[in-house]
Amino acid sequence: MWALELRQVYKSFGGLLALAGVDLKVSFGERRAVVGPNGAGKSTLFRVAGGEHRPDRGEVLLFGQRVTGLPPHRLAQMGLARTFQVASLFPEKDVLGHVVLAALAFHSLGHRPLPHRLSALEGQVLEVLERVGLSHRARTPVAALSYGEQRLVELAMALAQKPRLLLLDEPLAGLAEEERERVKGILHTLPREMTVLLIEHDLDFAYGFADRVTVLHQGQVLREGLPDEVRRDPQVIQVYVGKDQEADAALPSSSSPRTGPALLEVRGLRAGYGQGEVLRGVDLEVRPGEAVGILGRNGMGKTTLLSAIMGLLPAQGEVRLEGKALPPGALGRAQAGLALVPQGRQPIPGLSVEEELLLALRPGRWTLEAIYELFPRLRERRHAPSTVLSGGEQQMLAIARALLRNPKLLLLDEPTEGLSPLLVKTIREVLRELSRQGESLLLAEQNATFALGLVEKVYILEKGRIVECTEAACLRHEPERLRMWMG
Amino acid sequence: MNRWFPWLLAALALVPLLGGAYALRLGTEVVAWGIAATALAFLYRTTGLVSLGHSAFFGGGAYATALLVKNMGASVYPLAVLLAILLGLAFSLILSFLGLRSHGIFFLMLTLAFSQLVYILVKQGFPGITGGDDGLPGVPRPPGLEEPAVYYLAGLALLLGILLLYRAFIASPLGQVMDALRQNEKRVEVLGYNIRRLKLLASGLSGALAALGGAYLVGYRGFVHPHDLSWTTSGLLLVMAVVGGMRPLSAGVVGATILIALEAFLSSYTDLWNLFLGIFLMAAAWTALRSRGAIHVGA
Amino acid sequence: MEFYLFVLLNGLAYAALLFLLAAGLSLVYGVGRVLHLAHGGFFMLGGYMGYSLYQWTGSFWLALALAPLLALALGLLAERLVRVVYGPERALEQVLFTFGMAFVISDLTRLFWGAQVLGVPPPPALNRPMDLGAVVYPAYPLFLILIGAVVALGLWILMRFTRFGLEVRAAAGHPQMAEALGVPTTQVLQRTYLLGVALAALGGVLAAPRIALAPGLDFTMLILGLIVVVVGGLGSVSGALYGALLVGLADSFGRTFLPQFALAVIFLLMALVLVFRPEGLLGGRR
Repeated sequence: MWALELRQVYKSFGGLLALAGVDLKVSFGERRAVVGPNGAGKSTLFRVAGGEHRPDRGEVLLFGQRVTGLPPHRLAQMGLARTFQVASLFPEKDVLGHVVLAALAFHSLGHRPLPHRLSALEGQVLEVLERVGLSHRARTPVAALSYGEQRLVELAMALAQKPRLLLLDEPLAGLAEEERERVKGILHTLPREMTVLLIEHDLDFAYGFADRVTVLHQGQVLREGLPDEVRRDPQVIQVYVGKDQEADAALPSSSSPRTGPALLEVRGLRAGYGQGEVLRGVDLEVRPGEAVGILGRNGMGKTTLLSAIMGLLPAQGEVRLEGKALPPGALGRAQAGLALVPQGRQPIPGLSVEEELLLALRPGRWTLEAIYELFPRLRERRHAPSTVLSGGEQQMLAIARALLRNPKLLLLDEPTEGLSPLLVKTIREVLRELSRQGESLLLAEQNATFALGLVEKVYILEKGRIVECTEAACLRHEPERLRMWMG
Repeated sequence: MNRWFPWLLAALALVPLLGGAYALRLGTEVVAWGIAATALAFLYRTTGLVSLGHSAFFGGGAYATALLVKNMGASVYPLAVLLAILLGLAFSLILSFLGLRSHGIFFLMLTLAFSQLVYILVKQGFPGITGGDDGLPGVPRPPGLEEPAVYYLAGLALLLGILLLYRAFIASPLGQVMDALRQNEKRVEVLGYNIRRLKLLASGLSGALAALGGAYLVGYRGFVHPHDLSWTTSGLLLVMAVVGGMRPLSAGVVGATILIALEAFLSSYTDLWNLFLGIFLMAAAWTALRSRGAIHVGA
Repeated sequence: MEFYLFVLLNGLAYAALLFLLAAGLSLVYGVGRVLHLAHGGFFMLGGYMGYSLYQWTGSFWLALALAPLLALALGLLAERLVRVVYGPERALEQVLFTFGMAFVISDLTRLFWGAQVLGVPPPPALNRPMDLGAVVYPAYPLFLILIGAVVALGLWILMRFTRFGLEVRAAAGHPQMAEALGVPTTQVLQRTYLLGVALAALGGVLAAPRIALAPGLDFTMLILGLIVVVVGGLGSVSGALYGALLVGLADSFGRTFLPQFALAVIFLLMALVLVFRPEGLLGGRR
């Protein structure tokens, strides 16, 4: 019997297959890390295991019992606890209140409608608060806590439930250095009887913490085994860092340094979600006709950066296009000449392929005909609802509609996420062609090799800051340096 | 709010001594409406659900009590009130069962439609039983409580008891869970609580309590009228709860006091009570928005 | 047989009116995520303004043409106010605000037009029976059915084939992405609101010869409109259409066989839909 077992689990959303036949077996007391690039299906896996989604096919077994399709509260009662990537708390309550609620859940006291002395729970609650180091903040309303402390409350709630299986969703995401250390410390002292399933992008920690590692790629288990084995597995490395013999074949032609006024200037950009600050002062520049890459591991802020530049997120700092400050919202920036190919493609429900293209269309070089020539597949599927397209087709659509804006600068957020190698090649060819034709590109990618085969200049984003800016050519010839940043 | 609430209660208690018959009448209305508005606020405070049809329980409780007492004599008052409460509980449970299977907005529409249904059924559906457009006059007072001042003080005691129970409930483990439910439903579920059941419970209690308020009202007033089932009544209850702040225990009573005083004042000047009510509601929305955060325009 | 045809046609005529009311309600929800509880008020206003215009000009057709335009003017003002409560996280504020607006419209209407029941006669051209072979039926409700069909078709064409319709569907489907693609969602919302209000007012004028104009009409119609969108599914015009047909027919047959309980029948229909298919018959989007 396993603590958690997934048998041939399939889950799709609209046309996208997020999990394609996943088998997972976690033993009692095991520490398992689930890793993989963005779009691999890790979050979906968690949600299925947590009862939030019902799998289309396959079974989920918790402690040997079939739980497929049971709602979250039933699973919690069986001994499953979860933390959320973004702290999910009760804004009007204090820290103590949160932990008490968690502890009450399966205590018989939980359903008493009249006041009852909670002395029985007090000990347990105080112990948990000690553990996470929040005893001194017990009476503080959580709205007044720092983001890191809020994440600690999340953790405290999970621990107070005394779970047999703990699902940790990126426990270190968005935390500052000291906070990360604190959380790591707490995680290392978890009782051994507790089975832990962990998603984490901080691969150093994940590999160091886990007994076994499962690597997901495109909704399937790519590799599973001991951390060291998995880490060195060439397939795994390829999936993360990207290794493609053809990368060196056709280098971007322009290698002379670009001069002239910048097309896009970003200075001191700060942005985040809720209390957490993800971008801590980013500076970058894109020159006209240049192809620039932003590299970094997951959770470092690439999507936040592009969203903030596009105006989809409130942000502080300066963003200028052709020297002029951009208006704050996405509409204004779209009208000013920015176009975004968003992460996850984001097709618009209710519209067909051609309708999305027509919606985006602005006068300029790119016309509907030209797009159909570039992406013949879209012509074939032009009357299909955009949401039923395959992942690759949706990606093409996202690029196509951004192009039809005839923008001054094209922003691309992880365009290869979740795509097969063949499609990745196709996309790369398209982007290379665009670059050759003089389009300005700002590309955020975790697949470093893909990006390096495409861009001239690279910024490396680490924990919300640019830590390096170099010619792509340099990085291509120094794989160690790359590995250091990419994991 | 909570600090000077005891003063308000004390002032209300002194009404029989210091005020006249008119003040006593207003005071009784405050108690009746206060109970119903508290029920509405309770529902929102625990589940985040807004009911636009509480008049169905308030007026329905009044009608149920009136019918029983008129036909079987004042001695059956305890039974009548109990029946009113049970009906309020039952229909509230049915409504929430239907309405909670999807978005909260469906609950809202359902409550509105339901109250309209009750209104029409009472007004036109069974005029023989319910008195149709004219309502039911001649409802006797409960035995022992015929004196207006006595009835009023009894009601005040009842209100006080309800508020104390409310406070005790919120302080209890179950109450804490319900309190959290509105703030983050998903989190509560993931912690292991059956949120549907919790919402049903809150809804049932709310309906039952509103019916009690209606029963109290008719016992004093002596008649019940289809207007007690109308959307105006629902709207008035909502304004009361909102003006009182929705979340504090005192919300219903404070709101009822303010609105009834306002209505008494304004009705001598103008006929356009609904207009003021409407403006009140819009202003309350504006204030609620401001207190929540920046006013954000656009999708 | 003739009798049933009669009831059926009545139901369809009523459905046409309900559709005019519900289409706007559904669209405004789809794009702005706000349940416009004042919508019934605009329907009623349309009827009353139609009455006054008829009194003033003596022509039903002029009243029919002008009332929606007047409603548009009022709608411009109303939209600027409602705008502050757009957005999915504002349920309580939306309810308070639009409900409040409904009260304001209700009392102002009573102030201007009084509490007595008012009526408008059908235009002479339509005030006669038509021989349809199987049944003899008055012309005016047939006209209503025709208008309903024309508007439904027009809306369909608008949504499917025009730029505005595309933007409306985009804003309803994914407002953020639509903005990033240059769709001015605030303007789209405004125009959708105005369209909805104009349709409701049109419905009100058309209803005047058939339904008595009296205080309370706004809420009666609002309830029916809500039931229509619950049954048909919130957010789409086709949902409003199917819902209106079902509710209209249920009402007509209900009134015929269980006169006092017509609304109960409709309510039962809504309850059934909520139990078995909570998103509405055509629902299923966000």
